[in-house]
Amino acid sequence: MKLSMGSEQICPPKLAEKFVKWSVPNELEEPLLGDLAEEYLELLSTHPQKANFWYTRQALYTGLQFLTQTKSELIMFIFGILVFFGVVVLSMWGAGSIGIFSNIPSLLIVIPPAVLITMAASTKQTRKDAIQLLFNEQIPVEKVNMLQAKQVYTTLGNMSMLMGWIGIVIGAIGMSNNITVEGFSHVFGPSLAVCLLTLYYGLVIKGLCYAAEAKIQAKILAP
Amino acid sequence: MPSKEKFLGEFEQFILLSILKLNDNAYGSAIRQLLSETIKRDVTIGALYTTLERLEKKGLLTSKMGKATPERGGRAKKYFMLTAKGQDALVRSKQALTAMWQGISLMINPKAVNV
Repeated sequence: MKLSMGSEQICPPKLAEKFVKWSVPNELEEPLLGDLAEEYLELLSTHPQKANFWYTRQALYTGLQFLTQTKSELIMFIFGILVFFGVVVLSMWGAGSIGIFSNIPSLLIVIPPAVLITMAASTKQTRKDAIQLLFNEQIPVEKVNMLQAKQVYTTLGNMSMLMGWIGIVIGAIGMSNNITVEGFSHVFGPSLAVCLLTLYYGLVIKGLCYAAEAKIQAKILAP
Repeated sequence: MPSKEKFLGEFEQFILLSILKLNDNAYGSAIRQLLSETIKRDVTIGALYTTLERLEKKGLLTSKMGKATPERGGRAKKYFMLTAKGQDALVRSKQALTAMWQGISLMINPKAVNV
């Protein structure tokens, strides 16, 4: 938003303004940002060094004031995802060490193909809607576009799972080809663990995508 | 028989009184500045609008949008007015406070009463 101060064009701190726009209810956006702009201009003419700090502080407190009202679903969604990650990490830690669950080749088998196929199966706008629908509850999106956005997460989750299974099959074929009677006991266990990691990564991504799908589905079904 | 009507909170009373004082010019920024000048309370614009919204939902206030002005970046003001219900609530709260203060005399420190 540009404000006129004499012949000068002035902008309040952009990030702070965006935060207010994002967090306040739609019907309050105009009067509230107008009030902030009016006082910001007044302050610029009397205490220019304080104006930006004042605006940022007001924007921050104002945004936080309305967050629980306008973003309660998002807060619950983030909380759910954090709990999901917390349980996964605790389980990994309980199984021995977190290090045994990290394997770059397994990640490369699952993530790039899943992401590329999802991109190929959706438009740029649909992917943008899919992200915005998770983080902005007030954007007006048609139901048909919501269904398309939901499909982005369905494709990503299903492709990750498929690549996980493909990783297991490839690993099993590789193990079977190279296994010997002498080396069986110390080769089979670690190799199987690594090849199961692809399915594990696929399952984690599927879990996250399922949460995103459920969130969009709730919006689709909302009256 | 005790009344079931609730009394207004302190901040709610301050806001309703500010709207009465400002008359036709009661919008967010003006209310905020009046509170700051009169009772030295620096309220954030968010806290003010949260309370204004709550009072409007209770039917104590109504609002209407004004015209957009350039010094506000082309954004309109939202003007607030007290309803009859709002005026009743304000009077009832004042009467309750006056009744409670009757018979009480305190040594008033002039430094504490600077508003």
